[in-house]
Amino acid sequence: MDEITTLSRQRAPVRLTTVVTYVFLSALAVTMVFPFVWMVRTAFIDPKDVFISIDKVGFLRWLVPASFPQGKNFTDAVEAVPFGRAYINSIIVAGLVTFGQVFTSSLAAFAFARLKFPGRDKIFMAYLATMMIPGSVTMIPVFILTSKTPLWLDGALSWLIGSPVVLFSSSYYMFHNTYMGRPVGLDSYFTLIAPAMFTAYGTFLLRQFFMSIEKDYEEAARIDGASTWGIYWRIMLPLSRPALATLGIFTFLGAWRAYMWPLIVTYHQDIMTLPILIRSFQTAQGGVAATKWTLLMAASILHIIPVLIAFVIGQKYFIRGVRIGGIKG
Amino acid sequence: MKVVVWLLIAVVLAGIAYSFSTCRSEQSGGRTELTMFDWDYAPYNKMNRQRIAAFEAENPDIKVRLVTGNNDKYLTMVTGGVPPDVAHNAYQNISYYAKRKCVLALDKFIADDKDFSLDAFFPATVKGMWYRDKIYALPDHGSPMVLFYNKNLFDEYNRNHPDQEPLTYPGRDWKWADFRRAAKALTQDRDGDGRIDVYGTTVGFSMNRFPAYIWQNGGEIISADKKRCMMDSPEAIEAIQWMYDILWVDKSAPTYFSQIEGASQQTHSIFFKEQHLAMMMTTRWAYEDLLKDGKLLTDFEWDVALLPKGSANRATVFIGGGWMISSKTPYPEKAWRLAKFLTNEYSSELSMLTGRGVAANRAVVERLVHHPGIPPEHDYVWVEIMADARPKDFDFLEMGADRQRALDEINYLSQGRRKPEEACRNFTRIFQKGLDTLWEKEGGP
Amino acid sequence: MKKTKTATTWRRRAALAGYLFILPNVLGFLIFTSLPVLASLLLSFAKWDLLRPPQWVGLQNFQNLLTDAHFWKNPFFAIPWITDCPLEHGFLFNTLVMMLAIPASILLSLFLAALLNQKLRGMILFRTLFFLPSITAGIGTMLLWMWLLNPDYGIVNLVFGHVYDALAWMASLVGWTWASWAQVRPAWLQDVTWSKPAMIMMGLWGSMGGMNMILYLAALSNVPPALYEAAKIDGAGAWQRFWKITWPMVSPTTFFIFVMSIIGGFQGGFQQAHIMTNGGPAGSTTTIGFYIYQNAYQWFRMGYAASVAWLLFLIVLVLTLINWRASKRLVHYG
Repeated sequence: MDEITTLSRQRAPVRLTTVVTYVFLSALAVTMVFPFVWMVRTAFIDPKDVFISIDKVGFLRWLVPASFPQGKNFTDAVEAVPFGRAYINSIIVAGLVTFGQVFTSSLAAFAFARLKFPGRDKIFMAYLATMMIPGSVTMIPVFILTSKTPLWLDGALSWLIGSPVVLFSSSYYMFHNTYMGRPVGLDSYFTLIAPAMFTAYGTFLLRQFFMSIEKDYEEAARIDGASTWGIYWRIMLPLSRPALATLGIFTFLGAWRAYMWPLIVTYHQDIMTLPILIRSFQTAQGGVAATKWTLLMAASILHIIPVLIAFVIGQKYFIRGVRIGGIKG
Repeated sequence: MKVVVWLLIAVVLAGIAYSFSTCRSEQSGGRTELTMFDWDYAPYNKMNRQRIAAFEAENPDIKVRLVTGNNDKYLTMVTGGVPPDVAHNAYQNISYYAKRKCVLALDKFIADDKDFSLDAFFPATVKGMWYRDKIYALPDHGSPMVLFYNKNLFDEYNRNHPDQEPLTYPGRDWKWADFRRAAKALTQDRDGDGRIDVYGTTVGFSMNRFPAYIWQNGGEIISADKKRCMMDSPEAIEAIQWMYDILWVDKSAPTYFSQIEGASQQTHSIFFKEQHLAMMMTTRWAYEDLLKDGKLLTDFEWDVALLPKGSANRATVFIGGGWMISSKTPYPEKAWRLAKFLTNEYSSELSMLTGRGVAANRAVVERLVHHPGIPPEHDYVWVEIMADARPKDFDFLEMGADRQRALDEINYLSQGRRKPEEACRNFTRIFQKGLDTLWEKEGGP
Repeated sequence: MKKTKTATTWRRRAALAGYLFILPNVLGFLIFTSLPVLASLLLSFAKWDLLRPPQWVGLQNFQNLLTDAHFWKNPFFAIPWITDCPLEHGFLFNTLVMMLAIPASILLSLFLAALLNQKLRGMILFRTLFFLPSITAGIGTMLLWMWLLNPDYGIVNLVFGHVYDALAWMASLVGWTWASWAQVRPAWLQDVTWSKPAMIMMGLWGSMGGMNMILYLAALSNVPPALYEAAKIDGAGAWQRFWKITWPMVSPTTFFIFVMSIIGGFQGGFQQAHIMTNGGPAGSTTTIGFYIYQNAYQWFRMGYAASVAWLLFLIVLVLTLINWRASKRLVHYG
C-alpha cells in the first residue's frame, strides 16, 4: 500500500527518469544480446553464409542470410557426437556438483560467519589462500593423484583380503551395456564431480551473506531453545535463499561449462560432458582445420538452453527470498 | 503421506538394486587393448573410428580405444604414467618426447618389416620424423603452403587496365618480382574512402610462414650444425626486407595478418572467399572453406599455384605430423601394426578426403590430385611443392621464452616498430641466446 | 561457579559444532586442493620437464624469476639488474593494466543492478538479457569480437571512424587539420598499443551484467525498504540515499566482489590470450596466468611455472590481507 502511494505521489518526476532508464537499458541490451543473436543466426544457416560480408549484402541480409532458417545443422551436430549421453552426463555432473557445493559451502559458511571456534579466521584465510594458486600448476598433481587412486585402493584391498582385487581399476557397464566408467580414478563420475564440489569460492560468498543477516532472528531462536543445526536449517537457509540461488546458478554454470579438467580425465566417449564434445567442432590442435561454425553454434545453443531456463526460473529467488523474511522485521 | 514417501524410497532402492544387478565389469574378450591418441576434431574422430573398424577387422586379436584431446591432454597422459600406445603429434614435438625416451625408435621395426618401406612417403614428410640418427614416428600428413589466387580479380585488372602489361596467372615461371607486381596491381580501394577493399596478398610473420621466404632467397635460420643462428646474413635480411616492402612500401598486404595461426588462419581463407584478398599463401586446410565435393564454394573462380621462385629456389615450410609409439607400451609389435595401418593407402585416402592436409603417402596423393575438368585445375601442385618442402628444423619449443621473443621481433615488423635489418639482428641475438642455453643444457644438438 | 562451567561447556560445544560444520568442506578441500597446492609448492623448488623425474634446485627458480625481464619490465621504474628485454612491457604490468578495469566493472555492475532493482515492468527480461554474455561466453563470442575489432572491416572501427570524421570536420572549421581516419585507425588486437585496451573493452562488456550484477541484485533485495522510506521522510536526495544506505548495506558484497576480482584479475586473461591472440602481439596480451600456462605446458618448465604461481600467491595474499584489514573499517555487517 505504502509503495503505491509513494509512486503515485511522485508520478510526474518519475516519468522522465523511467523513459531514460528504458532507453539506456534497451541500448545496452542490444549490445548484450548481439552475440546470442549471432549464435542463433549462425546455427540456422548454411556454412557458406556464415561469414558473408556486411559491405556486400547489407546488414539485414547479413543478419538473416538467404539460407535462414534451416535445421540441418542441429541434426548434423547431434549425429556427429553422442549428444544424448553427454547431456545426461552433464546433468548428473553439474547437478551433483551444484548440490554438493551449495550444501557443504553453506555449512562451512555458517560456521565461519556465526559460530566461534579457535582458529576460525586462520582456517578461513587458508581457504581463501588456496584460490590464489592458479589451477594450471595444480592440475598435473591432481591428475597424478587421480590416475593412481584406483591402483592404491585395489592394492590396499588386496593386502587386506590377501588375494588380488581389481574392484576399483576396472570399468563397469550397467543395464547390461551402458558404460558407467570406473568407481574412482580416470573415466569416473567421481572424478568429474568431487574435485569441483569443494571450493573456497562458495564458502566465501555465503559467509558474506550470512554475516549481513541480522542477529536478532538467531538470538530469538536460541532463546526458544533451537539447536545450532536448527538455527542453520530453519533460520539461516530460508533467510539466505537469494544467496543460495545465486551460488547455485554460478556453480551450475561453472560446472556446466567446465572444460579443461573434464577433458583431461575422460577418455571414454560415453563419460564425456557436453563442452568436450562441443569443442570437437572447433579447429583441431594447432589450428590446422576449419572450425565448423554452424555445427559449433547449433551444439552451443543446445548446450546453453538449460542454463537459460534455469536462470529464468531462478530469477525470482534472487529477489524474493529475503523480502519475505525481511518484511516482518 | 508417510506411506507414499516410504513407497517412493522403496521404488528408488529397487531401482538402484536393479541397476546394480545389471552391472558387469569390462571384459576384453581375450583381445589386446591398444589406446590411440589423436587431436579432438569431429571430422577426424569420425575418420579415426572408420580406420579403427577396418583395422580391427584385419586384426581380430586387437581392440583399439580412441582417445582424443589436445596437446595438454597428451602431455598429462604421458606425465601421469598412462601414455597412449600410439599417438599423433606435430613433428616439431617429436624430438622432445624422443629425447626423453618416451617414444620408441622405429628403425628396427622398419628394418624387420618386409612389406613396409619409407619410400612410400614423400621424403619431406619423413625428414621431419627424425631425432638425431633415429626415426621416431611414421609420417601421417603434411601441408606445405602454396599460392591461392582469385582468377576473376586478375581478369578484372586486365580488363580495366588495357594500357598496362597484362597480369598472367601465377605459374611455374613466376618469380618474386612477378608476385610483387601482381600484389600491388590487385590492391584496390574501390570506393575511394581510404579503406582498402581488396588486398593483393598477405605477408605472414609466423614460424610457419616467414622461413619460406628466407630459404627462397638462399638464406638459413640456423646453421647446418644447429649451433648458430643465421638470421643476420644478407640473404635473410634481404628476404625480410622484401616482405617488409610489400607491407609498408607497396601497402599491398594488410598489416594485421602477421600471426597466421589458430582462428586467424581461418580468417585468412574467409577474407579470400569474400574477395578481400586476391592471393594468399596458405596450406591445403583452406580448402575446407573454399571447396566441397569438387565444387567451388565461392562466387568467383580460383586456383592454386606453386610459390613464386626466389633468387635461390621455391622452398616452402612443411607443417604436419606423424604417429609415435609409446616406449611404455606392453605390446610394441601390435602398436607398430596399428601405426603402420594408420599410414597405409586406405588410411591416407580417408585422411585426404577428410581434409587433413596432404597425406604423406605419395601414391594416394598422386591419385587424388589428378582430376582433369574438376576444379581446382592445378591441384597437383601439392605433389610438386612437396619437393620444395622443408621441415622447421630450427624450431625448438623448449627454447621457450627466447623462441617467443625472437619471433616477436619479426612480428614487430608488421606494426612498423622495427626496420628489417634491426629486426633480423635482434632475432639473431635472442635466438642465439636460446640456442646456447638449450645446447648447454642438452650437451649439444 | 556453576555459571562459568556452563559457559565453558557451551563454548566447547559451540566450537565442536563449528568444527563439525566445516568438516565436510574441509575434508574435500584437504584431499583435492591442499595436496596439489603443496605439490606445486615443492615443485617451485625443483626443475621439472614433466617427463623426467623432478630435480631439486633450491631457490634457483625464484632467483631466475627475480631477474626475469619478461615478468618485471614496466614503464615506470628501471630495475638495475635488468638490462636487456625486447618486450615493451612485462607480464606483471600487462596484468595490472588489465586489472585497472576492476573498479569500473564493479561500479557499472552496481549501477546496473540498482537500475534493474526498480519496480518497473520488464526488469526480469533485462536481467536475463544482461546475463546472456556470461552464458554465451566462449569461442563464439571471442571470434565475433575478432571480427568486430577487425581494423578494416570491423564494426568498432566503423563507428569510431564516423565519430572521428565528425570531430575532424569540426577541427577543420577552426583550421586544424587531422590525419585521415585510415591513417590513424587502431589495429586493436594486432597492435601492441591497442591490444590491451581492446581486451579491457571486451572484459567490461562481458562482466558488467554478469555475476557481479547478480550478486548485487541479491544484496540490494536484502536492503529493508523501510530504510529508504525513513531517509526520504528526512529529506535525503537520491544521491545521499545511495551513499548513506545502499553503499554500506551492500558493502559485504562489494568486499566479496573486490577480493574475488583481485584474485581473479591476477590469474586472468588466460582464455582470451589462449584463443584470440596467443599472448601477442609481441607479448602485449600475455598475462601472468598465460605466462604460467606457457611455461608449464608449452615450454615444459613446470618448476618455473610453479615458482611464478607462488610469487603470484604471495602478491595476492598480501593484497587480500590488506583488504581484510581495511574491510574491518569499511564493511558494514548487518
